[in-house]
Amino acid sequence: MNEPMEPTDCYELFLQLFNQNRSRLFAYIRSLLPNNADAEDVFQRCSVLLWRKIHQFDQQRDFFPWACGVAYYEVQNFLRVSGRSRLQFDDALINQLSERRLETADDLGTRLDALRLCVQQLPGHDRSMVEAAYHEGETLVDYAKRSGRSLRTLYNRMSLIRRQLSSCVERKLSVSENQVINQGAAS
Amino acid sequence: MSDSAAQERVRQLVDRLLDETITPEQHQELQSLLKADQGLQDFYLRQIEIDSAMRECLSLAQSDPEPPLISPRGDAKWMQSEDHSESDSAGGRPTLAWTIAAIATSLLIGMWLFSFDDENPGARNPGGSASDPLQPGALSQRQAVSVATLMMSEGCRWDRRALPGQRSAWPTGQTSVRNGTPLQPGRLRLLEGTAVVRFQSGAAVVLDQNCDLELVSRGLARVHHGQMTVHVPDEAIGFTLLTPTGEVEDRGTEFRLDVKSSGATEVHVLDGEVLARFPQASADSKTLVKGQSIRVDTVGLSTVNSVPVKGESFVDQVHQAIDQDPGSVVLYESFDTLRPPADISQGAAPDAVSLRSKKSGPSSFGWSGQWQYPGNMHNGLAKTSTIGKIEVRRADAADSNSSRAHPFGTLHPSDDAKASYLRFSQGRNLMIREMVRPIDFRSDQELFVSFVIRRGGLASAASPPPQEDDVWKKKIHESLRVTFRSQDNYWGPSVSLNFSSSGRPLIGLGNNDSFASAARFVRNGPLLWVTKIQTRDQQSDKVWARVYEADEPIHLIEPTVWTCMTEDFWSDAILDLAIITGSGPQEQFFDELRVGTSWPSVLPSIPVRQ
Repeated sequence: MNEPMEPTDCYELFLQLFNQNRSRLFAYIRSLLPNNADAEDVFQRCSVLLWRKIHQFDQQRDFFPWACGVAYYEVQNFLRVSGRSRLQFDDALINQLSERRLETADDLGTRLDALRLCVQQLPGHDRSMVEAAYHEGETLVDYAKRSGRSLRTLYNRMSLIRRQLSSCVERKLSVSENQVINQGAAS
Repeated sequence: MSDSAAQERVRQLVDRLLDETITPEQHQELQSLLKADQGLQDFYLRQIEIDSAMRECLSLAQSDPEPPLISPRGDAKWMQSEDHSESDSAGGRPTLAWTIAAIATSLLIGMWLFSFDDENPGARNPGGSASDPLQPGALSQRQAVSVATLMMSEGCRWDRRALPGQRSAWPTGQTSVRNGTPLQPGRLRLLEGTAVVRFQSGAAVVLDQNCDLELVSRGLARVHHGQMTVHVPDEAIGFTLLTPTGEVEDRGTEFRLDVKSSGATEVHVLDGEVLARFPQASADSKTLVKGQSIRVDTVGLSTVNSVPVKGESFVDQVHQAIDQDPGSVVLYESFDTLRPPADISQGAAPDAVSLRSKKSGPSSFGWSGQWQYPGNMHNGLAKTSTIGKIEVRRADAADSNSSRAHPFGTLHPSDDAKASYLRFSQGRNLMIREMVRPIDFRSDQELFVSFVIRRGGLASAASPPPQEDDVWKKKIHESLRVTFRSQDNYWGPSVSLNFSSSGRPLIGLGNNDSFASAARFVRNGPLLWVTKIQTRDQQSDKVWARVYEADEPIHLIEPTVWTCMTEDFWSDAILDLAIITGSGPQEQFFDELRVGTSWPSVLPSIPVRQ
């Protein structure tokens, strides 16, 4: 059983663990709630709950699954209370996706790092496209009107950007794995 | 379906899901495909990862960066200017004077217009007759709509008894008098105190004690007796006051009117132009301009005389009314005495300018427990990115060594000003605290919320501007918001006041209900939010917000034009949590959160009174 922690220790522990896992935790929530705004809201709520529950956390165990447990409950809570107005997956699929996400959690951090690099390497016009598509308060429809491009064209371009990023990630991970293998062989 | 075909189909459907163009049938198809194949689930998860990564990289800096407000020498550039023509309308840094005294230019006609037609001016008959629709007491049922709003009435005593054959301006069945009360055509008799009434046309009147006014329409009223100061913005030109001896039509101005019980009338023009008609004294209308006045004696013996101009301006009158009783603040956080834990740092910030002045009095009240900092959540693009950080920064006196250094023109920091404010570094930051007095949507009340926000722009010379690559790395979704939620029903109805990367202020109500402003605020300067939350037990609720830029005059009384507002909604929520959230690619600043019972009570220039 854990010794009771001082509030300061508690806070520092929380910050350390939370910052180590925040990206993966957000990715976990986002995979259950495809709508980004919903995921942001639940992520915010989870951070509050995790902070409040940190004294319950067994430090001998891994933080991420514990945090995902809290997040999973909160996703369910969110869907029950406020998700009615949007299309949502049913409980069975959310449960499946949750398990799958946890099973593949080990390489999630690496994948996210690779993804960020790939996004940074997008050509300028594609960046503008992404910005327009995700600019809050302005939709792709607005961007289509403003730019004079057809909405269908923009949707297709967004799809292509996602494909390019997907390929980029696989390529980077492949290179990374080869480097590890080569380093292993060299040693 | 082959594996590759199924994967391609999932890709198409996920595209539609992310573009929010997916149909219910397609959503069901996606769900079925995913349920049946773990490989497709992995593929789906990777597609969502990509979308998240792209969102992290959201760029918002479409607008030109604003020059630093602090020069390398440390000179504050918050220059107050009485002359707004000096402001840089070409897109550069403006003069930063929030000139409350300029209310005279900002009482604008707005969104509260009721569908009520003004009377036909040609039908006016100052003397009145039995057939005159404007004859006292002859108001028709058609006119039983709100024509004006009681804006300020603290310390006032009213005679609300109905006179024989007369209608009262007060809403039927309403026993209490409170600010924001809609007034209908009828008699309004003030016995003591100073009240401010704004007509729906935009004209505003400060009523002195012992005043008897009969509201006729949104652009017309009859003065039985009393003294008042009238302000008429351009939008309300033509606003007319009838007196026992004539009528005074405003041409966009301020004037003072004094009507004795005998009928004797004095008109003093404080600014602009007035058209006075006193048919029993003169067949001609008389135009009075600034500095001119006129006196008309008792009915039947009228003579037009010039008398010395007297009377305080409308603004002065309103100031006096506010000074008497500005309403109370029920929740306050100045951040001056915040004791942050752990990485919430506190210290001098020689490069910073306070967002407000330090004032005497309490620095924080109305809270239950302490601020909680659930974490500084950063989703930076690179491992080397700094973690989001909330700092309580203290502005030294040197930073704001004169009133001219202050962003809000009428604020006057004392010499030993030590005002603190919150500084959110890039990343995600969150603070949460429980309020003693919740926002209770089951009760009949109006609450006003104000705070100051600012994104970027306080970078010092010691912090060189980031390189382009760094800027790109650090671009994440920007949002700075105050949300009121319920502990018992966290995901239930809420009120969220959000300034997002789009630059459009937005009011959210939870459950995906949000109302964005049509206007965008793209400059990096400070913004003052003033929000009105109207809760009604048995009626619909509503929220309005007015956002002021630094060089914009602040209304002394509630404005007629709002930056954004919700539609009517029904709620019985009890919101007892205040949450401040700051996330984004650049520093953000937050200061002085107030919740009060009146519009002036939450204005930065008004001392905090509990």
